[in-house]
Amino acid sequence: MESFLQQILQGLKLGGIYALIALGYTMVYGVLRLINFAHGDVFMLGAMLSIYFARWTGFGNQPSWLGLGATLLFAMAVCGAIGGVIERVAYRPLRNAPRLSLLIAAIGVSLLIENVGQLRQVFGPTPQPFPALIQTKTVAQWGSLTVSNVEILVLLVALGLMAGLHVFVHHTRFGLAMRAVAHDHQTAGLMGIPAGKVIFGTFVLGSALAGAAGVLWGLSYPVINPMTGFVPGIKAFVAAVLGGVGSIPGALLGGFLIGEAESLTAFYLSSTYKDAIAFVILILVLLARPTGLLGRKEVEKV
Amino acid sequence: MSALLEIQGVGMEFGGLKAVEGLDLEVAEGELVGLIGPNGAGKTTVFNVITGVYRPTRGRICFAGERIDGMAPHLISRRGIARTFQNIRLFKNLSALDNVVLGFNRSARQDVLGSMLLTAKHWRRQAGILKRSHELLDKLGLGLAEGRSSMELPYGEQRKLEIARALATQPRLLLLDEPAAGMNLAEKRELTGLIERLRREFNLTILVIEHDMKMVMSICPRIVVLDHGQKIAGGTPDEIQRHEQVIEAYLGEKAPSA
Amino acid sequence: MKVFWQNNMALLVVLLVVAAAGFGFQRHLDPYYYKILVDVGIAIILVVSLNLINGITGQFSLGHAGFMAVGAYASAALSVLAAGPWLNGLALGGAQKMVVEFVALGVIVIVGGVAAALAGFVVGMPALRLRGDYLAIATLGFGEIIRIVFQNTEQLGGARGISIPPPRSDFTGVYVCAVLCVAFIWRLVHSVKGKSFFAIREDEFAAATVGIDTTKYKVIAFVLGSFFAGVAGALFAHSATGYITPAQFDAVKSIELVVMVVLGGLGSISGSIIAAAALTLLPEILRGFAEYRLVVYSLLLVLVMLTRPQGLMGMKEIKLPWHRQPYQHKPVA
Ligand SMILES: Nc1ncnc2c1ncn2[C@@H]1O[C@H](COP(=O)(O)OP(=O)(O)OP(=O)(O)O)[C@@H](O)[C@H]1O
Ligand SMILES: [Mg+2]
Repeated sequence: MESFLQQILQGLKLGGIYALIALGYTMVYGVLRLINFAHGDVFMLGAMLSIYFARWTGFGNQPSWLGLGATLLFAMAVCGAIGGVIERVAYRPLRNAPRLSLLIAAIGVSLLIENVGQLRQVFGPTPQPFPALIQTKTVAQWGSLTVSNVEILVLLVALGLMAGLHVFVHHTRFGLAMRAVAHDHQTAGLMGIPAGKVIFGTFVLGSALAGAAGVLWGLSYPVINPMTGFVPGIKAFVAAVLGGVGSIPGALLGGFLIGEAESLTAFYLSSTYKDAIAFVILILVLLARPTGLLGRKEVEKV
Repeated sequence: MSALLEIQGVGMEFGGLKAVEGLDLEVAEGELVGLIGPNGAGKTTVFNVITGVYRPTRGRICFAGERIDGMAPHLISRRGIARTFQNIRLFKNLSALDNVVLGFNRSARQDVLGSMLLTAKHWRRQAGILKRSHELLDKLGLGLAEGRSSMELPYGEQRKLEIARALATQPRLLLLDEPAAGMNLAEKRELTGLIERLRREFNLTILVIEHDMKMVMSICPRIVVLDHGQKIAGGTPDEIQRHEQVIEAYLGEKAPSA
Repeated sequence: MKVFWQNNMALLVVLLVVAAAGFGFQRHLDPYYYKILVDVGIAIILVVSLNLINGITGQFSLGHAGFMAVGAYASAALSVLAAGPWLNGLALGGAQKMVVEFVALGVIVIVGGVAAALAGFVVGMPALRLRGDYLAIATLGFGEIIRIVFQNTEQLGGARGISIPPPRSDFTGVYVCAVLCVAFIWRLVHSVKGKSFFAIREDEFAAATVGIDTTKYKVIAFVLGSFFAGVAGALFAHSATGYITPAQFDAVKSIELVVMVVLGGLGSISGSIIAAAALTLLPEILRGFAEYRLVVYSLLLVLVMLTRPQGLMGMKEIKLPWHRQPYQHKPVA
């Protein structure tokens, strides 16, 4: 029983990170109908650049809340900027191109980030340790079930950011514009909403969340290399589709579902099947509900 | 003899919106019937339920004595119903010829092996269909356009090409959704002649949606009027023109602010 | 019969040339270049068959590597269990050996193709109800599941991989398959019925209203595409290295193939051939730049998309001069 709960806790932590990444996928898909393949790599950059930041500022040597907060903010700011640049340079010129071309451009950006990152002059191919920004402590214990402060922290930060996003999307003018563009590009344009700016802002926002997710990932799985983003990226995208791509609550639900499923599969079945379970669930759900758990059904008008 | 197309009590709802309600309509073999009504009256939706795009939420549709409501669109097409679209839906990147060839696809047998080995039999069949496609294009005056991709054609020719593609499926019933939309006077006049000619030559039964009253009145011996999803009138052009509800429906549309 | 020969003469000549070239290359070509040529041939099969699904029929599959894996492993199992020991037992030599191995390779390749086609059918039937990005992510998932299943099948070597006995897929074997794959797919999609594949991509709905059974054609495209992916997989498994691991068939491989299809031009078979050759050669050409080559590769990808989003060829085709038409129309003036 305790080991089951321990796995559930693991799953929550993992799921929170997936959900944060999934939000970026879902928001971008909402406004641009693009699977932003580079998103997982932005997440990786969040983790990787934080290592350098912590080294440079010295936060990595003495764990402190200040250091953690500063690193988190740094990662969000830098990733937000990177996301914005990617949108401007690689995606905007393709606004009217076939959607598949846009997708290939996204794949290209993803490969570019990974391959540049592997250069010796940049990060290099070898994994780098993520600094202990806070001291890992057991904060609660019931029998063999232990809860560490990192787990609590990751979950709280993830939930906090998601709550913030919810408020932002539902209670600001930008959020309203974003929803309008997601609902219908053309009409939004006709109503005077600057779709270009909204798309740009969405990329910045989504990438900032990915940056935060990068730091949280680093705290939990403290080895990072330039390829770190690929697998969590794909899984987070699966989470987004599972929940219903375009739906923010869907991303949450999907993220936590995948996190739990993985952690339980690794424990009860075999860790080699851990990577398959996300896809098995995805396929079963899509066959029953082709637009995901919370996705809107779209009827084609003829 | 019973009607070729029988629609009984058909209703179509989109999440609460009743696009068509309690529609009864019979079309006899060889008839040319006009379907008119203000914007949003549900005319296109009627076509969509006949051709199987939507399964009607109520009622039944029979074609040549067989129930077709709920059948898949391609099966309905094979029973002998063809249509054109209000917002032209050609195979844009394919040539005009290929669009018509695709209309003929039912006449060709799928012979995967034959097509891979290019056997003599397969080759002959291909030639036959290509020949018929060319002839059909010629008949509609599109002979010169055959090699061009269909999206490059002028608007009027695209509409005609859609008719050609529909005819290639060898239909008994042809549904035309605003075939004259966007055409100028001369083109409309040509189209009127064309519809008459094709009807005779191919023994067609035609149901046509059209906003141009003059055209409908001049070619259709019988007209059915829809408003808010319901049939409000049916009869000869003369009867329709004098029908009070019809006048109201159209006036109501023309002067919404009044 | 005369028409049949006229239609297939060119194909026969090409196949003979391939066989002769293979014979010459084996003796006189540097093994390094020989291997690259073989890789190009396998890539052509993969990309053209994926183009049938993604470009010509407009269904977005991201799981092609998975079907390649099925072909590779099915053929590997056949070779390890039956074909390899049997050939060994025959103890042939010289020309006899060559002929028997060539025929054995043919059987192995077909088995690989059929296994992948079956997998394609099982996956395609349910998955093709999904559209666009949903189909993409579902097929990506199927591909990954297939890979992970092989990774956990200890009888097939698990994650470590499995080594495969001869016969080896040489230049001749690979290019005979490539030529047949291109010719068959070309002929199919340019036949009257076969144009239905293009019609589905152009407007699935309009296609149904002219009587095309869209589901059937999508499944055919998927199954046939998977068949050739399986063929390529079998050839790959039996190539000179003679060793495969599940990791070679991961999502990255599938993505790479989609990239080639798009770069060549969605729906253009000649474009696919060019892209398959170019993108297989490019990393080799850039080998001099060692660690920069992947950077250059990905940069080129982005740049090509920004400057030519429709791909190299768009939907256009390069037609061979001896291309024949079943019917030539004489316009009535
Ligand atoms: N797929 C759909 N989903 C929801 N509502 C629909 C759908 N198709 C049609 N409608 C609605 O049904 C009503 C009837 O539409 P329809 O297209 O049949 O009208 P119409 O008579 O053809 O109009 P028009 O003359 O403008 O072509 C409209 O209010 C339309 O918005
Ligand atoms: Mg209409």
